[in-house]
Amino acid sequence: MKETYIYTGGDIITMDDAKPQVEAVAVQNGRILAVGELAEVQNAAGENAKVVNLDGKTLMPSFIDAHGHFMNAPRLITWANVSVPPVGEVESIPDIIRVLKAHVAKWKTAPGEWIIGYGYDAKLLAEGRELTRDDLDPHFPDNPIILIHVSNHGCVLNSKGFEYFNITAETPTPEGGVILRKKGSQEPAGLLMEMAFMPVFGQLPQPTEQELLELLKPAQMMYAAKGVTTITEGATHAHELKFLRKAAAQKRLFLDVVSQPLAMGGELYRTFAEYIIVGDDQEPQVIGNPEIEFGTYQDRLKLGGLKIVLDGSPQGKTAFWTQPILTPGPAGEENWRGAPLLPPEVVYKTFKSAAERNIPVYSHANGDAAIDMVIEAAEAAGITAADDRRNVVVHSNLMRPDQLDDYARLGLIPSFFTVHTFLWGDTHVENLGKERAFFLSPLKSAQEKGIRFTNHNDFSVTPQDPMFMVWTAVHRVSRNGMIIGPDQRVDVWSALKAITINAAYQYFEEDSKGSLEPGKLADMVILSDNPLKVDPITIRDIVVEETFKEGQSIYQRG
Amino acid sequence: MSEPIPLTIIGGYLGAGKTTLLNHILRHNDGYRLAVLVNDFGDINIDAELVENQDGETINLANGCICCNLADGFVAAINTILRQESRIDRMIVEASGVADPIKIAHYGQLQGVSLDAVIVVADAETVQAKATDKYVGYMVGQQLNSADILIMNKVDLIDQDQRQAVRAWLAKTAPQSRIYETQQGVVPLELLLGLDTKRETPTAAAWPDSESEQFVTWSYVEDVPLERALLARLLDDLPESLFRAKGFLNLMDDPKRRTILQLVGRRWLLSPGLAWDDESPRTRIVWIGENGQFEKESLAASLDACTRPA
Repeated sequence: MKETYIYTGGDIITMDDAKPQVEAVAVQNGRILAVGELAEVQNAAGENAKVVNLDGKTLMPSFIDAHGHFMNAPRLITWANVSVPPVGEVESIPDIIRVLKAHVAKWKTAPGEWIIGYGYDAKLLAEGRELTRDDLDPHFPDNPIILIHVSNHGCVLNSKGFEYFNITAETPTPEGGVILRKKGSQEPAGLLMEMAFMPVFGQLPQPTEQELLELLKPAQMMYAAKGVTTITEGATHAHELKFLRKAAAQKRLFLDVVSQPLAMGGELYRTFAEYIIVGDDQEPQVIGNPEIEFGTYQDRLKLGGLKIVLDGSPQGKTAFWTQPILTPGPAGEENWRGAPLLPPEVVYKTFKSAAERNIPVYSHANGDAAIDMVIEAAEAAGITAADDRRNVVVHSNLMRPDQLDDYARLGLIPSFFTVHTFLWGDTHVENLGKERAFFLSPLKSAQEKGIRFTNHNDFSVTPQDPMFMVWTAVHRVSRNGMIIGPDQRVDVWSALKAITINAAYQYFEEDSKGSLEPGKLADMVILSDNPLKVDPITIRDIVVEETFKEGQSIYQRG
Repeated sequence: MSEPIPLTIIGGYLGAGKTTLLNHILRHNDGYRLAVLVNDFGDINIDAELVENQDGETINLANGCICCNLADGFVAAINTILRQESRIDRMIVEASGVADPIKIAHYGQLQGVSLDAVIVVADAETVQAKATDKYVGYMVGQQLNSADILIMNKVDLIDQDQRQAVRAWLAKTAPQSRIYETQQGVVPLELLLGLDTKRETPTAAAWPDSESEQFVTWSYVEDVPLERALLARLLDDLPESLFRAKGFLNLMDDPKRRTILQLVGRRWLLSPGLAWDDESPRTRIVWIGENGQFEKESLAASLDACTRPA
């Protein structure tokens, strides 16, 4: 028997420009049956429909993750979050101890088992110094601890951790690395960075495939709790795609997952080994194969495009710019502009080969030089906006104004990253000056050129938090209170579109997702407040009350 | 703990000929068990008859060599190699076309390996243009600057005048390196990997002298101790035709133990070795130089001069 539900009694935001707010929504068989005035919706739903009272809460389409790394979630949820706000709740060393103790209690960590934490950053701790093994040892004498640095380039170990890796006073400091020593001795104090950290990270114990499969449920729930029902795995390695296919076949996915396999550094071979031909020029080409189908979900897993990475990150100073930054490079270089991670020849071949097979290319590009490379490659591959390829430039973070015209002409979609304004905005101003930094993720300028943009958290680089994304798109305020580009702030409606209907469009799913319109999937979220009505400064405080995937309630706030 | 495995980095821009060179090495491994670390199996295009089996990220070749892919990073790949049942003699890493080989060379500090050399391949025909490219120019410059030995490849594609001009430009751009000209990525193994001193008994009088079309291997043996400062001056000012040297020295200021000399391109290192004990102290250095260029007699005379304090 098919149940029909009518949601009413609160604000309903459709994300449909033609009919932005309605009184009621009817849902049947996982799809939207009708939207509009209560009377007309009741009429369409029939008299047996059950009425659900929203109790003044706000219903809207659930969120679509435009870019992030789902495969980081299963492990990360088993790690302790020792980040400073807003990512975590740690502001001092006692906070770290408290978080780790709570973590041990929650996961029932046995003596001898690893305690892994992430987001460690001494710069923002009250003590103003690095955490040491002496801080950790009295509380955790029996478990090895590793707290991974927020940059992912270092860690702090306790004594059990040092013991595990056999790092002692006799261990020499490798070139390009740091082993912080205790004052007046050679004994490692706790912190390892760069080359001293690399071998440690490489040897951390890995969960088994079965453990990872089991962790997919809480991993998806992490998204559901934030109102996200379409997740991106935006740089899928071959072994990860194999894993996701297995998980999908075992019906372990209850949210939609879009995977963009990495098409560089040999990953293309590993992913599509059976489907590759090597041309005379020794460059790989994907050949058509019906089993490798892009664009359709199978057991909630879809291949959504090929991913290439052209540069690093602006805060790590590894993005690729046309003009030097104002501060020294990561190794103290003068006139530092960064460097590309791919040769232009490879970027061009990826665009050419993907276009021939109707596969969208997702290009990670943060700096304007990396973005130039994308533009030139798309242009050389003969791509125009009229082709409707929906190639996405992931981050498009520090672009130049003139590049937006190229985006419009070539049909490139910017997927922006506005939480940078809060998290690293001050750093960007320091490194780039106001003019360049203020054009970070230029939503307003893109909008004025008629460019549809999306916005993302890039989980696990930043936490999965759509309301924080909206808040940053609307306010662009930094940690120090500077507005990072007042001209680039957009209204709440536009900020919401970036994570709903525009993200659906990015994935060629605008006919089934992203707004509450008859016939679309009932992927919906109930929010504690209406982001269009609350004082905009409080948008980040709005919480998710309930999340629906195709009409099914999959998350309710406890 | 066993001896660390020497690690050689092969860098250079896309299309310079790194892959051809690796293929050449794998087919002419001269009995060495080589481990080649690559980003891309597809790229190396190994002869099918050479492949014995593939085990995940590792391909085992019939000649004892293995190829290991860098999908899970250097640390994982190096650990895979260190876990091999029979010992690998040498590790060779192919750097990506836009990688800075110096950064990869830092992995030479990991436990179980030691950095041997950074070899950078340059396409003689295109390297100058690439070095000024708006996107990759900087990285091509970094690559050239990180080379101990520069392989100037594809010299058959340019005429004699261009060849001299490119060579002069490379010498100016990468003054820290030695330059070897070749075509089709043909580079003798002894130039790439040096001599495996473990193949000879350390107490032997000398490694056998040999001569190939391209290279001369020549041993210098001397019982009179050498003076460190004089030797250092000599090592800093060796002729261009000398590419490598390796050996045990009997130094005046450290008479009780061996001093180990390692020289690649222009970079050299002296480090303390084992005590001489019962053996009578004697300097033995094996040199590798380009055939036709390398003058043994003059080098021998210069070395002899290091036995006399200034």
